[in-house]
Amino acid sequence: MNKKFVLVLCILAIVSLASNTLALGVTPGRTSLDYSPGQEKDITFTIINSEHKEMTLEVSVQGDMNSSIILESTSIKMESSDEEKKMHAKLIMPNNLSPGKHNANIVIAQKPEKKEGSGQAIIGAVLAVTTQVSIYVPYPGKYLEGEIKVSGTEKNKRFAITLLSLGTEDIGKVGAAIHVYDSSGKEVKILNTNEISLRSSETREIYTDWDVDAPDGRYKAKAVLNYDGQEMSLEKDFEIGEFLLDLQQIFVKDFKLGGIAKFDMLVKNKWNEPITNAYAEMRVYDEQMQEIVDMKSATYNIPAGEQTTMNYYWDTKDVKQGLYNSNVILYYNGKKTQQDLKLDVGQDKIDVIGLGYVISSENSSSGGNKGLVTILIVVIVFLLLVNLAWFFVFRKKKMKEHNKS
Amino acid sequence: MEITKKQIYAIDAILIVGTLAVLILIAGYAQPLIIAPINELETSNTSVLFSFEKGNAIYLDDNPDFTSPEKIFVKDNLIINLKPGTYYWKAEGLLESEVRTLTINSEVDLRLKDAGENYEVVNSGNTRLKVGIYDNNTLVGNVILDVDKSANVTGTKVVGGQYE
Repeated sequence: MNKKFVLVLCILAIVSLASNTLALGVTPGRTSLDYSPGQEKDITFTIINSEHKEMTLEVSVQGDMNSSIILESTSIKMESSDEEKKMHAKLIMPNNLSPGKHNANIVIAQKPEKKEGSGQAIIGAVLAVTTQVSIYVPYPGKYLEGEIKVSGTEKNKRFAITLLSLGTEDIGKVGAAIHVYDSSGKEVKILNTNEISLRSSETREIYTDWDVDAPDGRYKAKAVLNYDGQEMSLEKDFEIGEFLLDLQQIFVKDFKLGGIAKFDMLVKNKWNEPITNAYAEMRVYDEQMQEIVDMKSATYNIPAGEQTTMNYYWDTKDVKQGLYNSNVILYYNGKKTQQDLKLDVGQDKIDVIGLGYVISSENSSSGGNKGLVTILIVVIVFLLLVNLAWFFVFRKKKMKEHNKS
Repeated sequence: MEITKKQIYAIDAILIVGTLAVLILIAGYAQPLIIAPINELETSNTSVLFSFEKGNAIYLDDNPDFTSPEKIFVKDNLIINLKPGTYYWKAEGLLESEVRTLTINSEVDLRLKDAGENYEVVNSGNTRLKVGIYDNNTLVGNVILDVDKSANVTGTKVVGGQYE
């Protein structure tokens, strides 16, 4: 009896929870079409019933092209077994649309649910989703839009400009000069991209590479594009490297166990701007990873590209010789970087273990690949030589001998 | 050594067929074999399984010239989360594979939960949404919702569409 009661309660709770959520989806969220006046285009979209609910949906069109879209149906019934339903609409491209982007929204709205008998809505609000239909009407003449993308590492950067030809006329030649400025506004590099041609409505990229010869930091790329004698400019902020205060070395001089250990911590500002109010914190732990000491340095201002020694002190009274786990945290400009270390505390020295870098090749598999490529090239060259030798030397010779005999 | 015309032709045939066979074998061995996704796949699922053999990296770009590709080092299988858009991709081994295209369709998906005096609206699709809040057919506000984000709203109608 009790079990049945609990079960009924659970079912009611699940039904109640399910009823308190409306869900509706549509894909794609946008359909983009090229403008061709008077032409008919079929638009397909899929309505998603992610909650597997029985519902009635109303479909309508809004926006500046609503009279140009004819819907297959303005009402759809979704069964609980329907995961999705495909719908079609017909767009008749209007004549004489002004240049630029024109949109229409196909709106799919879920009617509020009613409790049987009571007439009361469980969720009183209407939920609706839209799928947009966009038409881009080209501008008269030559018209270009673009966007700069900066990718790559701190050693090599690629500047790629995505170009969209949005005019009625083709563009014969487009290229760009990319001016790179540092954070103080000083120009540090000028690079020229390749040149391409662009048909009307076409999207392509131009690009250039930079073997970076500037310090880490914030930069601005300003691209001056020239397309068939016309100019436009684009800008993009980017960074080289990481905004980083680099921990380079920690050492303790003139140490005697039981006394005060003075830690000298060498840090380098790898950024091209000064770092202010930076400080370090070092925590030391015993074998049970219980914190023994928490040391903090004073605050330091470190000029761009410069090294500074930060100091902090450890009173080693009651500290025994041995290996201690430790970590150092650097705080600067709202950022913190942590490095785990070990301290080997001796009678008259403290060795800091764990600082340093492991330098590995970027892609160890590429070496193996190169070897295989070499073997394959050797095989191909060998085959080529055998074929050439046979067909142009030995075969001719043998045929001559044969013909003589 | 005297050889007959027949033997010369036999050597011709062995050399031609043998060379072609070796070249086909090399090409087959060196070119990555792409298993998934199929070419021109269209989906609204943003998690895409890339599966191939004899490759160690894939190049992914939004243009077929691969002028600004993302290079991802991988062995055999990898699931990559992608934003809606059209992508061109190829695998790299000793040689490069064919170029395939892949389209992630944007999906507008809204959930509306009863939250007592107001509603919680959740973007459960794969694209950023602009959600219009209406009270008796009058627009009273807009909310921009990133994927998987939610907001509390009050009104009688909630309309979500892809943000520009």
